[in-house]
Amino acid sequence: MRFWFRELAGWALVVLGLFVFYLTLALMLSDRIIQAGMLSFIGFIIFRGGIHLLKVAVAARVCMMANVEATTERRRGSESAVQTAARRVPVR
Amino acid sequence: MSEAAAVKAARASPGARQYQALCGLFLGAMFLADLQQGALILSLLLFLVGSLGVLSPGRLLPILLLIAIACLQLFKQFSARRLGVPWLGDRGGIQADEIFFALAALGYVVCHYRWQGLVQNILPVDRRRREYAERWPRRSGPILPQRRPAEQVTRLEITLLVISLPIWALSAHLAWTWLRFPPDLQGWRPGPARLLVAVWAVGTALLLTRALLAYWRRRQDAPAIAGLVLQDILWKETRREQRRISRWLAWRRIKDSKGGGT
Repeated sequence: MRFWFRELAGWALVVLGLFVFYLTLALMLSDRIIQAGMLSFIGFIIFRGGIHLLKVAVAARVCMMANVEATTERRRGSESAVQTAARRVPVR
Repeated sequence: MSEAAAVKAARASPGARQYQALCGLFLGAMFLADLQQGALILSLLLFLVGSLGVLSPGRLLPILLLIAIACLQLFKQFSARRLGVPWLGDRGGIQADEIFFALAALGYVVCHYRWQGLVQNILPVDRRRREYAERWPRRSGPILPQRRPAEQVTRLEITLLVISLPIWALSAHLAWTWLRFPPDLQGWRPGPARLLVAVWAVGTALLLTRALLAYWRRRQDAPAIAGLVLQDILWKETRREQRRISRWLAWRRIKDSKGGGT
């Protein structure tokens, strides 16, 4: 669950970065070139931060899912082994 | 089979023939659409440049055609504005023949690249993939081609291509219409303002597309690769702490081995 929060936070940062890019355009069109340059740098950092957070969250989620699947498989395997052993008990 | 025979066989395959024929068809459509503007010599010039691409799957020929189209369009604008030629300029709004021309040009370029993929290389040439001689001296030979198998060309693929072309042409024209009327800007002429808005829109779209593709690729990763990514990030973010801790541990181990531990 915690990785979902990180993923959501990553998407929020990506959207925020896009919004900052939009503000940059608005500043440029109103002849504030210097301010727009600084804001575009900030937007780029926010956007990259969001992408990084997304990358970590997705990679962690993939690992967790693989872990859960492996545990389930192991449990199933041990249950089936117990059942097979029970079936092999000779009945006289 | 030698390389020349393989190229000949690839060019004679039905898929390659179909794409070559489509190139010719789209070139004809471009010529007809351009002819409606009343400049026969310019249309013929464009037709000649494009016919080179129909005859040969040269790598640079689609780019040459695009450059020719751009030069002709610039010349028409220049003629209309500076020389006062009335029928060669911006006619305002979206014209059906312009959409048709854009559609045909896009179709020509796409078909030519697909034809190149069947006959030459489907990817940019990889100079590391070469043929090597069997015996000594093992000198590097010609570059190995990476062609798409001609049997993979299906009717569905060609149909989808032809159907999707009007969508792209219309989208481009709608985007251009949006750019033609930039918002009221302080101290900006329409040309630079349009360019700025276009660069911003394309740049933002590219950034977003890249982010989405990277996200999709990460979701497809195998657990081992995802683990490697996490380990890499962990190492990058904690490398100084790890180095310091390892240094202390090594110092302690060396001290213990010398018998000076307390």
